[in-house]
Order: sequence, then structure tokens, then C-alpha cells
Amino acid sequence: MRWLCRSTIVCAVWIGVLVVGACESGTGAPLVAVETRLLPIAERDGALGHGSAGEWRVELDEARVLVGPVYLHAPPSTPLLAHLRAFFVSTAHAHAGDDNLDGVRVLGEVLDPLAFDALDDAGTSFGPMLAEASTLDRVVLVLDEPRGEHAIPTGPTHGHHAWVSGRAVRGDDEVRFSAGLDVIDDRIARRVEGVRFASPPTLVEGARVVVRSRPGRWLSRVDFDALLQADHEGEVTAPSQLHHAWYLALRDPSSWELALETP
Amino acid sequence: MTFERLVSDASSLVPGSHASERASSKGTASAGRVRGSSSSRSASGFCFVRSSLTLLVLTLFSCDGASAARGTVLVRTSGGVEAREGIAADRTIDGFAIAFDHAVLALDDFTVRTQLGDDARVMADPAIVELVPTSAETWRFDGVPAQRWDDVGYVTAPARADARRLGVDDAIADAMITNGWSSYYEGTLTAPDGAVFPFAFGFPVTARYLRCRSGTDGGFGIAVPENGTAEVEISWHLTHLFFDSYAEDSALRAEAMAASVSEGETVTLASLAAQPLASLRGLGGGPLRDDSGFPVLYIPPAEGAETLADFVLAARFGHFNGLEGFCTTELVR
Repeated sequence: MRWLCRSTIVCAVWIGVLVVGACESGTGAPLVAVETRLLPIAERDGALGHGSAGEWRVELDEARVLVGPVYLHAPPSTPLLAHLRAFFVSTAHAHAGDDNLDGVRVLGEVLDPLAFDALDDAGTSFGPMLAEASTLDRVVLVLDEPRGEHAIPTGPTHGHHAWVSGRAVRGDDEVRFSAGLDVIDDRIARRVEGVRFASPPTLVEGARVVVRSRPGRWLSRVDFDALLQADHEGEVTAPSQLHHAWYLALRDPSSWELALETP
Repeated sequence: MTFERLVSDASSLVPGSHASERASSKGTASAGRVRGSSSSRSASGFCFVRSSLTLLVLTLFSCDGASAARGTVLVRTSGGVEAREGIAADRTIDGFAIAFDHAVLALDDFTVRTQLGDDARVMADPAIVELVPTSAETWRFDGVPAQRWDDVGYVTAPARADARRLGVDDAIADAMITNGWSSYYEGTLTAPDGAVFPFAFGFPVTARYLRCRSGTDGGFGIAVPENGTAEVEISWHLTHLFFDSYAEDSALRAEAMAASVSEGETVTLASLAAQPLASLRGLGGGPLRDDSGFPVLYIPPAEGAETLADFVLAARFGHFNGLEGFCTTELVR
């Protein structure tokens, strides 16, 4: 009888181990050290910060944006873990669940924003971080508000979320401009979500996640004709068509590219 | 009973073993039935094998969540007050009044599960539902185990030829099937000056509404009462078609849509594709401006949008048991 009880207990333990093991096979990936880096990318046959807006040629002298937090996401799925997360974590929804990332696993994150100079070839690094050695599907960038040294008027973005200055030229016409962009305090409005891989790779030790920005596209939808007709000079005051077009470009996933460099 | 026989019987109690049963029956079912549960068995023979396998069977059986008490789930689909009365001019920020002649939804599936993996396996056949002017009883599932099911969801997908048609014009249903639309909206926009702009939008998207939280009690999913009925409403909020932002604070706005065509022409997704969000045009042909004279900004969804058509196609309309009920969504375009 004692033997039977012992056997039953051993059997029950094994069954328990098997059942628990079968419940979630996606956990347990080791952590690896990776680096996330922001780099600028020039438009075809152009210098950094050079682009076009219709018939206008645009040349940026300054192009900076505060980027961060940054989240590295696994592919969307609905394993048991995601269900458990949804069970335990209450999620707010703007309208009928328009949050595409609810329940999607985060492999790694950096929380402090950086001032990214999109005209600096060297780029900007968030430094080393630990991330789960798993499939990386996409990177989510948050265009957060300036804080601390970034919030002052003499800061890299003049106290705004982003800053540009430069000129637009069309024949003999020229419009010189500068502008600061502020984004409303809303989780959707500040998020760039669709920066993703066509074929998601796997994070490995020493990998570098490279997010490239195309500053030459930031103002490609600006109506410089209207600024010319208004005899604009100096800083463009928000809200304006320039600010709207610039904001939409920053939120447009096609303004960014994603790559993974492995050692 | 032999060892092999006992294992074979035990396997019938594993929840996943019913997957093929469900797959084979789903294509033909329109009645709302659920699968039955199995009973445990005793074994004789070698004590160790008996006790171990009995424990295994009991463990697996306890995961199934089946019980003798059962109830009914009744699912209605509603377009709410907007389907009946439209959207009055004082609800839109630009004074446009909106009326719906048709709001048709192609529902592809309805799931009743728990977040720990139990599945009531209700068999929801595809349906094409007209929401104007009133709600439609879409599915009735009898014999659902009486308990709380906290992972409830539904799917809208391009209309299928074998779908039941609930109050929908055949011409509209046929067009939805032919064009691969999962929803269709037809009506009129009336400008403050009385000018009328008809609209007709067919949405070629698949949207999964998952892990819905009820607008009535705030809880996840539904509670099926013993020998009673859990009434569920898929609340299709037609105002979402006219939101100007995916941020928390959004207004209803229609001028940008109306300005995509000349008066008398029909506003379509094709005409909205000619309205770039970076330079929206108003009815006069100039930039669309707000009351303060500033250019209007539509704040796009997280995945971005270049045109008003992109913006509208990213909309999620579905709530759950009223407008305070929300689901997580997956949108496929």
C-alpha cells in the first residue's frame, strides 16, 4: 500500500510536470545582450536631409527628433501566455480595441528617450540592453515628450518633440523655415508601430537592431507653395500644414527601416 | 479492459481531440449546438497502472470544464441608435447630418472559450446581417455549459457564398461576396447648406475581435446561466466611420469625405483615396480648416495612413454588449 501511494505521488508529479510543460512552450528563451541604434538614411542620389516636396527641393540644416521608449516585439500570437496576460492586466482601449499590440510579447525595451540627430552619419545608440533570444518581428518607437534637458528651449529639439530647419528651393523661389513639433499626449498618437521585418530574424548575443530614419521624407508632403504665397519667414507656428505633414511622415512606417546586424 | 483500450478511451477526453470533429461539422451547421462531454471510466488490473491512469484521466477530465448544467447563448447584432436614426448634425463637429440606408456586416465566426483554454465549441455558421433599421438575432447556441466563459470573440471577414442572409438585400449580399467585402455602408451626408452627398463603402478587411469585455458588467466574456439564456450583443458602432482621430479624443467629421466628390456624386473609398491626410481639402476646394481657421489634422492609427481611405479602412467598429464593451482586435487588410 505504501508502495502504491509512493508510486501514485511520483506519477502525479510527472503528470503535473508534463501538463505544465505543455501549457506554454514559448517561454524560457535565454536573455542576450543586444544594442539598438538609430541611424539616418539618405534618399536616393541625395545627401542626408535632402529631399523633395512636389517641385520643391528641400534641404534640411537641422533635423532632430526625440525617440524612446523603444520596444522590440515578438510576432503577434495568441498562446496561453498572452491569454494569461490579458487576464491579469487590464488594458485601456480608445475605441473597440484599436491597439494592435495588446497581448503581443515584448522581447526587450529601452525606456529613456534619446535626441536623434537625423543629419549625423554616426547615428545614436541606446546602449546595450538585455532581450529575449527569440524571433524579432517589429520595433515600436514612441515619440515621447521632452523631459529634463530635452525640455529646455536651448535643448536639441528646442523643447519640442522634434525640430527642423532648412530651406525649400524651386527655381528662383526660396522658402527658409524652422519649426518645432509637439505631439498630443496620447499613446496611439505618439507611437510608430509598423516598423517591421518582412522575414523576422532571431535575436542573438551581440546583435545590433538598427532603425534607420529617412529625414529626406519628413517634409515631402509640405505645401511650400502656400508658405511662399504667405511670404513666410522664420519659424512656422503650429498648428500648420507643415506641422501636420511632418507629423504624418514621422508616424508613417515607410519613413523608417529596420535591420538586424549580427556579429 | 486492456491498457491500450484504457488509453484509447482516455484520449477521447482530451480537449484537443475534438478539433477534427469541429472542423468537419462547421461547414454545414447553422443550428447552435455544442459537443457533448464524456464520462470517466474505471479500470481493473495492475494497481500501479490503474491508479496512474485513473489519475491521468481525472486530471484531463478536470481540465475539460464540462458539467451537466447547461444554458443558451443568444447573439444579436446591432447597429445601435445610429442605424435607426442616423447621426444628427449637432453630433458632428462640422454640422453634417448622416443617414444610413444600409449597414451590412458579414460575420464569419463566434467563439466561446475560457482564457485557460476550455472551448464551448459553439458552431457559428457565417452570416450576412443587415443592421438598418434594427438589430438581428444572429446565432442561438443551446447546450452551452453553464459557467463564465471569459474569452469570447467574433470575426468579420469577406462575405461567403454559403452565408445565411439575415434581412439583407440580395443585390448587396451578392456585391459583398463578389468584391470580398466584410461590411458595407450606404447612406447620405447632408451638409449644413443642405447639399446631399450619397456614400457607399465596401470594406475588404478581416477583423478579429478577441477577449471581449462586456459593456454591461465590465467582466470578460459572458456568464451562461443554468437552464437560462445569456444574451449577447455585437454592438457595431457606426459613428467610427466618421471619427477624425485614433487618439482618445476624437470628433465626428464628414466634410472631408463630402469634399472628395462633386455634389450628387457618390463618396466611395476610391474618392477618399484622393484625399491625402497631409493636405485635406474642404468643400470649397481649399484646405480643410477647423472653426479656428487652422488646418484639420486626422490623427492616423498606429500603423500610419496616407489617405483618408487608408484612415477609414483601419477603423474597428465592434463593441461587445454595448458601447462600453471593448475587445482586442486584429485587423487584416
